[in-house]
Amino acid sequence: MGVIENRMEKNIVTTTVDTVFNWARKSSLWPMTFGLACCAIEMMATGASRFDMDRFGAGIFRPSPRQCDLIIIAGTVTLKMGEVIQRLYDQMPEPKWVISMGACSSVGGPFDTYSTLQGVDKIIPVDVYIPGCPPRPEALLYGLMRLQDKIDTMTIAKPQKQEVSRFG
Amino acid sequence: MMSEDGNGKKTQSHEKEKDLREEAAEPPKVEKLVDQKTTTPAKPKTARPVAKRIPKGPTYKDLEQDSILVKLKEKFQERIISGQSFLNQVVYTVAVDCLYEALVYLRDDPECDFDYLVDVTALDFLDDEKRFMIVYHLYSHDSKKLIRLKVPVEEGKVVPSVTSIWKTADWLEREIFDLFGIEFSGHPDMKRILLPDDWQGYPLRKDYDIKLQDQAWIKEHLRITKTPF
Repeated sequence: MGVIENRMEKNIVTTTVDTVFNWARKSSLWPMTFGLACCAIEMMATGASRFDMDRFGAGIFRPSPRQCDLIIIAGTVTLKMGEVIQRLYDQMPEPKWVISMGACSSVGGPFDTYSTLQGVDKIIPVDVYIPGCPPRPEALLYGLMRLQDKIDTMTIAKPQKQEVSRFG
Repeated sequence: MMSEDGNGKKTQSHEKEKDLREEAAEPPKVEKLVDQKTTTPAKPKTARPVAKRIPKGPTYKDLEQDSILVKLKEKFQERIISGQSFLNQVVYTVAVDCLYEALVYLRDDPECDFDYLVDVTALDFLDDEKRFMIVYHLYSHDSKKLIRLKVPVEEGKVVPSVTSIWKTADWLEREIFDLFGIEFSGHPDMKRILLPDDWQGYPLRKDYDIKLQDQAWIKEHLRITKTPF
């Protein structure tokens, strides 16, 4: 995959190829099991049978960061855990996305204290924020669908000079 | 309202509309409800009732005829500062220098037999002369008694560790050291337990702002260069 990306100028051929690549990427997002606190319960509920996440292709939770392309930060992030999250995010292969699930990982939630990181976006770039305490499974699925819409806007051609794109 | 038939029907509907408009223009008629109370004469006003005295909450009461207190006083005399009860919970205030022997005695004496150290915590009274108050909760499984020992300690004082009496005090005292900064002598592994090892400051002290985070640690470990954070 790394051989093809960023080689060609934008033209009609890549538009069609983009559609195929984006469809493949968005339809098989493999998340990592990263439930830290109460939001983990809702994430498990979303993966279970009633609110099935597998129908979006995102039901295969991988325990290792090297095999996943999506990390759902579900729960309160303490400063000690922040180091761990940075390491795991660095270990994920490109292309990778981050969903910040719940109030604690988005802005620190109700815990504005000496030990809580006020928002995981201070250490890793976040693509989708899902508010809630905890967000309902339907909210997580909506966030997942919005991420799929975001992936639709990607391209494997070279990025324009003006924008600094993280998506290669 | 337009109608297909001749003018006759049109005028009829116009008249109806006119009547309705006239009715709407008049103010609506409201029937005044006759209230029973307004017809009878008003009662003379009585004085307002005085607010009831709010009853006092529970207070500390001095202990009388407590066997444990008698035994402790016998052994340690004036170093046992007081024995009190609060809502049927016994509290003994003890000086630091006899703390270790008193706890050994409480564990070994067959009548007291406090074999379980429930918790060790600390309080910070910022303005007092002896700033910290370490609290021990002891429980006896056989006699099912729970007692509390309070030990006032000034800042900088090194308190004897009770790890050799009850093993559980190991991590409990580490937590006090981590969050208050009170050192314990004779402790096998005196270091921080909850916060990272190189954190500066003791967060549960009253003069530590609850939102204050160790900026230097954050810059170094989380690679965040933008401050304020």
